[in-house]
Amino acid sequence: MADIVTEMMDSLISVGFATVKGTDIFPLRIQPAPDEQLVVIPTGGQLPILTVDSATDQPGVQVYIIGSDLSTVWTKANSIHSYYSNRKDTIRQAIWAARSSPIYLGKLEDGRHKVVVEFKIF
Amino acid sequence: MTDAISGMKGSFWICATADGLYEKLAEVSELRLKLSGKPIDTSNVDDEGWGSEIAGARTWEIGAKNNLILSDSAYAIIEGAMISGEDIFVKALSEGTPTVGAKGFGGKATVQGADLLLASTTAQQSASWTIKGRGALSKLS
Repeated sequence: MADIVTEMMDSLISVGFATVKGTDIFPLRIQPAPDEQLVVIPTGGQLPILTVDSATDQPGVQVYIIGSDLSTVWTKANSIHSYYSNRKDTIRQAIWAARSSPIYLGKLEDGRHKVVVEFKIF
Repeated sequence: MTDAISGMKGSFWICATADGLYEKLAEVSELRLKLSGKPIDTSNVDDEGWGSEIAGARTWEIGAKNNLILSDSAYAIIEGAMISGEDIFVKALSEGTPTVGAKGFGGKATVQGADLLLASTTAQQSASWTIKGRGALSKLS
């Protein structure tokens, strides 16, 4: 099983929210270019489900939507939030929105806008 | 350093026959064995105001919780017994397996209660079982 960041990036690409890893979607860190990009980071998620012979992860991810055009960034954030708000067998067994809407986090030092959407995964 | 035994060492094994191959119930999160005695009241006027009793019949039951694993062999046995009401044979172990270093208890039983969580927005699918003994409980060591 791939790590959850890779799985989320692969899914975002397959759905069409990004094109190629390392080009317009990145793991963990926001890049100086391109202007518009997605960044996926893990949140640590919830406590694993523990039994005497298994531990099942319940990871979480945040997707950062970055860009200088706020309208484009906000629209894309809402699209990603809406698409992944409640899906089964898309990423592992289920993914759902951890919050009711995207969150606007203001501007980066270079002036680009930053919006985050967060998801829980089983 | 304590001599306490980690709960992660416990396990619950099920078989459809007394001498068959016991299957481990997968992904157990809680396992309890309860023994209950039904006292016979022998209080009388010579007890000087105190009650008295003698031991009556004893019963035992096992409560088990686990994640619902539809492909699990032990689940298939217990599910079948839940529907049919037929006897099963169980081993509730503190340590070991039925064939290597078993420490625990075992006996013939029936599935008297099942509580299956089949859909939830906050939890995985799971099962809670109440398995009541039929006859004597045996110590395994």
